[in-house]
Amino acid sequence: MVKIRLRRLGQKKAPFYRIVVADSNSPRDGRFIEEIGTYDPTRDPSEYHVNEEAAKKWLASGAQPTATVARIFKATGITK
Amino acid sequence: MKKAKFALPRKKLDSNAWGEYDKRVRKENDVEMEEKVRLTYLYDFYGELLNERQQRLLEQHLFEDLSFSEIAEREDLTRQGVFDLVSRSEKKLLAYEEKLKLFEKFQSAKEKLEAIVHASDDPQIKALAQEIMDSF
Repeated sequence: MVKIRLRRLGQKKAPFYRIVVADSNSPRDGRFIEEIGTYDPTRDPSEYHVNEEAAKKWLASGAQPTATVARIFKATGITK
Repeated sequence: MKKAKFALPRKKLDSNAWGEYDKRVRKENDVEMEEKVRLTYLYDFYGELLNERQQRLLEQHLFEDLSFSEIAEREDLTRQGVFDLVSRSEKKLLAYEEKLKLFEKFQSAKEKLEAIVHASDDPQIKALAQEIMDSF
């Protein structure tokens, strides 16, 4: 199954996330299909940026967002 | 599908009530997201204190955003087993923070240092504040 999930990057004590589309059982630090956005919780308020077109495309083709990603999508106003 | 001829009239919901509901849900979502970010911070501070297995599972949960059942599949455990282990580890992190408050101190120090960097024109002071910030 294809999932849309966060992947953590950044340094120790400075988290930074990318929103990626990946196969549900691809390995840790493993390959992902496409990067469609970022999420930066270190800023106040936290900053996110999503490529809406790509997100909609993947949602339409049945990719499952994780609960955390779904929250970000909701905040940016992307729905299925 | 054919529409039913005598469909019951849908109960009209008070639009205002929905707005309230939505607001509450959004607030809850934000809190959950913040909680997850907070836990990643706590993991950065106290992760080394967990055992290897707890570290591995919690990393998969927090850094890779895997669901419990996905972790279970990878680790050859039951979903329930993963849930127990992860929540026990999270509780441990919260207990450490409760006692040591390293994250709380880190946050307030960082805020103040940022304020120093903003307020000062002296490049030397700025560099020093930056250095302290990076040393955490």
